[in-house]
Amino acid sequence: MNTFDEIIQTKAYRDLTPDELSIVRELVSSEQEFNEMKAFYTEIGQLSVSTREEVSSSVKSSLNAVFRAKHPGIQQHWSTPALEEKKVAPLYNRSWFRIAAIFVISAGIATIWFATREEHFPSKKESVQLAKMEQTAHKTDQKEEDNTTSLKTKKQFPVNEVTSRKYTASSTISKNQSAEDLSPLNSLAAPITYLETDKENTYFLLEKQESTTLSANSPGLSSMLRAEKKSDELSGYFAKAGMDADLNPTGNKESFGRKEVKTPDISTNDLLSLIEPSF
Amino acid sequence: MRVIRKEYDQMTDEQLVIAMAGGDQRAFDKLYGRYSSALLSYFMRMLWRDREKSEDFVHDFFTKLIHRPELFDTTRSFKTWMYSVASNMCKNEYKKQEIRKNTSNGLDHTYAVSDASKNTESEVHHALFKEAYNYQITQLEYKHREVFEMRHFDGLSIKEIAEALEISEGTIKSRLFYATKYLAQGLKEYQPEHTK
Repeated sequence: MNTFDEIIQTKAYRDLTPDELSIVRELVSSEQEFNEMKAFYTEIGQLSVSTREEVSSSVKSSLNAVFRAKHPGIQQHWSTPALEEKKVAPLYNRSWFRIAAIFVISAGIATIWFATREEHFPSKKESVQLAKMEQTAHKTDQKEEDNTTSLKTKKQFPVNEVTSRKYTASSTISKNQSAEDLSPLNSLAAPITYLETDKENTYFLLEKQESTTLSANSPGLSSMLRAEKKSDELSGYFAKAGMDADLNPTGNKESFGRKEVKTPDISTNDLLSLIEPSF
Repeated sequence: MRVIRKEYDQMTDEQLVIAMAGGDQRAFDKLYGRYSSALLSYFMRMLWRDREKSEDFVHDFFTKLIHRPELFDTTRSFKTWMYSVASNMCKNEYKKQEIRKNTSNGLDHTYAVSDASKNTESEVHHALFKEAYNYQITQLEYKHREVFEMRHFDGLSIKEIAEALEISEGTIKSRLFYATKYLAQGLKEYQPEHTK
């Protein structure tokens, strides 16, 4: 019907297309009827404009009273926004997220701190063992140092009263004494003490310490092993040093420290038997 | 104030109803200003041009809207919904009273009788046509009259009329065709060409 209304109001009968003519012929059969219908639409259009009515003000006043009775306390000058955007708080502004983040960070820091603390500071038990081993290692190192210094001064040198020392020696060898006066010493397993005796004659003996129980994990182990190795080497030297001393009264310094020492054809047991302990 | 007025001007009819339901007086004023005249004209045409009754019907319609805004389905067009309610109100009124086909002459008493000595020829012709139309329209059945006046006087499209009356567009077209043909034939004598 919209199409019919548009055709009737805008076009003349002679200007109609075949399609438009077929639509118009639903209501009109000739050009005369088409023109009469066109006049009718014009009159109806004018009539619709002239029949516009305005509502009296009393109706509006009454409706205002009804509205105020329905919605009391609402000020007329307030305007309601059409849309209210719901504000969504970001995740980092929420309290539960902040609390959880603080907890996680604290746990991480505590874990890292405790882990590093154990690395730098071992447990008490381990620390006690370490202390003991360090003590023994220190003693060994100290003795090693003493022996090192004593070995350096292996050769005979005159001893004055200041430097003279008195030891309770397990065995001493005097320069003037012959090998027959000496009592035999034990084997390498026995501790052999090198002492500085009288004023004229000085012989130094190395005391070998037995390496017994040492923990493999102690840090002083390496130093002790070195010391033990050294002592083994030195004991080897010194076992024969007595013999060298007998056979080499001048105390050839160069002979000390060499791994391969020329030994005489005399057996050790024969000589040891000659050495008599002083006590 | 301009900002507020502009906001209400840009709001749709549905948004105004929602705001009004929330207690916004200005939204109600805006909605009333948009549709009060059209509604009154409709009632005037449908209720024998009884102005007092027509204003009462306008007051009843907006009162119902204030008290029960939930009756309006926001998914529908407010304009079609308003005409649907107005049509039902008129049907109920017709049921209460007898349809007076044999009224004096169907003339509207509020229409002033044109004084030929003062008015021009066109104005006289127009007044006569109006009177004839008012008579002819009362001769039509209510269903044809309603469709015709909603199309030509209220400015609704075929689709909007079908939605308001909850009938098919084909039925609307056929009713409209019949009413147009009947009125055109009945008012043929009052055409300007014929009155000359």
